[in-house]
Amino acid sequence: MLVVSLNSEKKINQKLENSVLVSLDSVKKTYEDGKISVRALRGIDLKIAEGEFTTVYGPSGSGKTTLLNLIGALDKPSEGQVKINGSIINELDRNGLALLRRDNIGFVFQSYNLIPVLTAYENVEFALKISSSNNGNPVRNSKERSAQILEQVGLGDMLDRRPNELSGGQKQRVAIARALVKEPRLVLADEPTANLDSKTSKEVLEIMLEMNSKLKTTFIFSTHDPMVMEYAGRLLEIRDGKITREERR
Amino acid sequence: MYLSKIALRNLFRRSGRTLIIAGVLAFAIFFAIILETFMAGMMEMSFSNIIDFDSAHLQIARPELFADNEDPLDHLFTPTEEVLTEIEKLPGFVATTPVLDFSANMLAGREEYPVRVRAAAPASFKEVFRYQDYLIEGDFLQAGDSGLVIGMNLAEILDLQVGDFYTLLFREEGGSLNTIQGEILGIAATPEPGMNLGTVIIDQSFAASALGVSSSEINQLKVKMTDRHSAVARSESLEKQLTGSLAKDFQVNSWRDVSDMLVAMEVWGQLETYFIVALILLVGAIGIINVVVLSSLERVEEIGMMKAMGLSEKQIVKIFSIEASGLGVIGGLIGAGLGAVGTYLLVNIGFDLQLLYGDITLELGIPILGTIYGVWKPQSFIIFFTLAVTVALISSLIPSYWAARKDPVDAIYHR
Amino acid sequence: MKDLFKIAWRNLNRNKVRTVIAILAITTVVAIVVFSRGLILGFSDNTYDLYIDNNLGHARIIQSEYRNREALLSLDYGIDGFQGAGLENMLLEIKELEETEYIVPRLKFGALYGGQANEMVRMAGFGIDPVAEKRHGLLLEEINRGRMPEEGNEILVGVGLLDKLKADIGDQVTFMFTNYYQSLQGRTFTIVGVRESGFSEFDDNFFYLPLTTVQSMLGMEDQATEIMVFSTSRDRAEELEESLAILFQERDGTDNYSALAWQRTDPILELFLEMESIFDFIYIAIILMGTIAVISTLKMIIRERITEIGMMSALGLKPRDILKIFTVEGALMGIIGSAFGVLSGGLINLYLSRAGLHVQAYADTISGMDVLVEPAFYPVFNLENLLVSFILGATVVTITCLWPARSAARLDPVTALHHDS
Ligand SMILES: Nc1ncnc2c1ncn2[C@@H]1O[C@H](COP(=O)(O)OP(=O)(O)OP(=O)(O)O)[C@@H](O)[C@H]1O
Ligand SMILES: [Mg+2]
Repeated sequence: MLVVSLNSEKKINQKLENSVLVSLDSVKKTYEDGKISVRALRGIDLKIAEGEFTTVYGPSGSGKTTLLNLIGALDKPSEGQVKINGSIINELDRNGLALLRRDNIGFVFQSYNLIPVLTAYENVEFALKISSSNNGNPVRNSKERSAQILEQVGLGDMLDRRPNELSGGQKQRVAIARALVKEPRLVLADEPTANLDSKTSKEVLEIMLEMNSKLKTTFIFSTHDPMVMEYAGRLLEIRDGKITREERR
Repeated sequence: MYLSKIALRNLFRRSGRTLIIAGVLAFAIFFAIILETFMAGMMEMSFSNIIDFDSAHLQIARPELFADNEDPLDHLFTPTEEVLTEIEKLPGFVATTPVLDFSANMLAGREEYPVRVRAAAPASFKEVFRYQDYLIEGDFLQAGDSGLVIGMNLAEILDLQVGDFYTLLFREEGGSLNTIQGEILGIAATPEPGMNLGTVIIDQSFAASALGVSSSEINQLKVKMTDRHSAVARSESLEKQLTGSLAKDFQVNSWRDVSDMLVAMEVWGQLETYFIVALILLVGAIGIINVVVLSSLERVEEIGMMKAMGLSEKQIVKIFSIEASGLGVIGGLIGAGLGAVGTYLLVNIGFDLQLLYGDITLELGIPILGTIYGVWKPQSFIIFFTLAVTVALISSLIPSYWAARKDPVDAIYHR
Repeated sequence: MKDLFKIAWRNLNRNKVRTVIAILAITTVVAIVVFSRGLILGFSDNTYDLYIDNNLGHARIIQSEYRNREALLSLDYGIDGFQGAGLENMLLEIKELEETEYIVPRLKFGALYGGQANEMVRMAGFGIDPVAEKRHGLLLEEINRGRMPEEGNEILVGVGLLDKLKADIGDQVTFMFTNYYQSLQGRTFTIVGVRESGFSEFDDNFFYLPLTTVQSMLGMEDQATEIMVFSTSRDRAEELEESLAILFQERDGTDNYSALAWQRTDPILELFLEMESIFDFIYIAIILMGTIAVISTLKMIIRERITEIGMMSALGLKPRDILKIFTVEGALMGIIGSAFGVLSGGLINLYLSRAGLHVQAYADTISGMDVLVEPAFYPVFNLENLLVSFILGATVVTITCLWPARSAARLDPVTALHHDS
């Protein structure tokens, strides 16, 4: 009896732990830039559960990008602890971070960052192939999956176009498809709509929302556009490197 | 797979730049290949001139004859049937001829010039050497003639013509001075400068009586073979045979033993080629580093994204080094292609040395005259192509690693 | 102009790595040029001086027909002065010439030594004027034991010849020779000195006697076979040749004698001199290969700043100014690279000019050839070489940079502004 109850308690705890995908514990980030040091983040405590659709907003220079970089395991905190999917990133080396990102996180950036010599389709498939080429077992039906996800973001007829033959919105959709094709636990998007007009922005956000509900992918994105904030499930306001307001909808 | 796809497409992104750097590598390879075939052609020519006019492929004599400062008349021998059959049994044997060399002073009018007199058996001499094909005046010797065939340079400085009388002053076996006299029979202009000035040819039976030796006594047997490369090894086996089973005191030298200076020249030429090629490749290597650095700077954001996606540093290095190797391959192919065209021209049309040097080769005493023809050397194509690709690959590693180490955050935001 | 340099300097500092690599490329090629120029200069200088000191002088006077007969050591072509008035007089008149610094007359003849065991040693003898030779200095320098022959039957022999004669200083040797009248003579000499030049051709075959002794024993009073005339430097050889020609014309009136500047006396030297001019093209080609890095860097800089260029020209900056900005940037890389190249190449040359570059295969080749060349390389270290290489590097780079700079200057402001990188 006792054993059983202990076991079940453990399970519940595990479940709770499991459902928390990202946790930040009094995280500080200071940039040492020659003589000046910039305190970009001044103590952030944050837990993000699986499946959440979170928006970080705040004025320019408030630390949004810095925060997303830490959550995305692109950077390490100066103080405090960042835990992603159970791994403490403070303890990982460059290669460990790369592996963590590869297996868990998709990225979308304001500047798209597509690989110009690859077609839309190849850009997406490439993301799948990276993982396969590293751990040996090839991803099955990568072709179908890549084509299918591009279909889902509405680019079914543009598979063979190179990035310079696509509009900004189309590029960003390719970037989203690329971030999602691996079906990562977490997708980070730093101002994904900053270069797009409001109509295209909406389309891109709709797609992200749809993916969020369909695939249960956790989304965190930053913006300073009030219109974009409408879409958030959870809204975090950040000012001067601190979370100043939090709101769930 | 994707890594090479990206690398190769990147290669054509700045096709101008790619082409120029590949051009430097191509130039290095082209240069090396042409220089090598040219040198090989020159060597081929020099060696075959020495062989065809002076040394033949093999020479058999008493060991003392090959030592310096020895009087050649002290080391005569009569070739026995045994020895001759042994020589004829050699694989690749073509012909053999007896030769009796000795030194004398050639007197003409008030002048006198030291020469090497080569007493030859005219019939077999023609089978081993090509001297008789290069007469510009008069005729070659007949057996029993008292005449003399001389080179054109000797004819010039002594002002001799066919039909003029000559006197050869020499020291007999006993030590007393003696002379041979007769008529100039022919004048030869051979491609081997040594034979044009310092050597005269006389009939062996006539010379023997003048020297007071038996007509069967000679001091060298010259042997012509089918192929000069195998002749070197044959010389050793023949010497073993003669000294071993026949227990005769003979030394067998190949053409290579008498062409020390040419062999050294060959090595030197090769060193020179490699040195120049190394310098050009050094410039090429810096060009490759330049390309990799510029490309990585141009593609900072791409690299950042790749790192964000979880590409390892090794994979990024791979992209750049495949690209650089591609440059090496393009340069290598262009260079090898041009090299092939150049070699083809050199092999079929040749290059007239007079254009480059004027008459100088005569004065240098190098046995090269006339037109040089190239030689196909497949191994130099392979060597230099591989070299170019290797240099490209190796010189790309450091800058690639430098590019791959970039912090992903800095790269994405292009700081 | 000062502003231009400031702008250029800042731009180059924008990305140090690529600038450094472009500069490194120039450094390398300029260093290669400095090194090869030094090497070739060293090689040819050495060779020229060897020929000049041993054989040619700055100008060499012989009987015109002697040229083809020299190998025979013929005595038929003695120089016996203008219209037969004697060598001494002729030398005095040559000495009067403005270009003449000093004169070295020699009388060359063949001799034999009959040693033991029937062996015959063939030799070439020189009658030398001890005073003139001392002024010239070469023999004096290369006498490794004993002294110069001054008078009578004193003889100086090459170190290899000494070996063949199996004799030593103080010993007597008897040589045979034919005099001018074709009669075979013998004479005994006392060895007073040994020459070691390092060249087997000289050391194994040559001996030296006082000129007056040779003249009297050959029956060629007041004659020589060759006269080496020296001016203050080898660069004045042509003037010297000209004055000699005029003198011969005036005093002799025939073309019995020829006086040739050293450059024209030996076909091998003519070949070397000709090759030197070919090398200038090779140097330029080497530098051009290095400019590739500068050009591609410059093109990238231009590409990056294409909107900036559009802006500048929209603001009214003239294409000329844009051309200047980028040319100065390229030139700056060229100048810095060339400076480092000259520095590193100069250091290599400085070191090798002392230590020498020894290559066995080369030494083997040389020893088999009939040429006077040192069997090791000693590159020349001199400022002229550094300066020329620097100017060559900086100029070639600057000129090639005009090409990308021109394409920047020609950009249409509208396309430049809307450029999407
Ligand atoms: N690498 C760096 N070195 C020095 N300071 C930095 C660096 N990166 C960011 N900062 C500083 O840290 C602070 C936070 O920057 P961050 O990029 O996170 O702001 P942000 O909220 O994303 O702004 P924006 O909306 O303009 O993108 C800013 O003051 C910025 O100047
Ligand atoms: Mg930001």
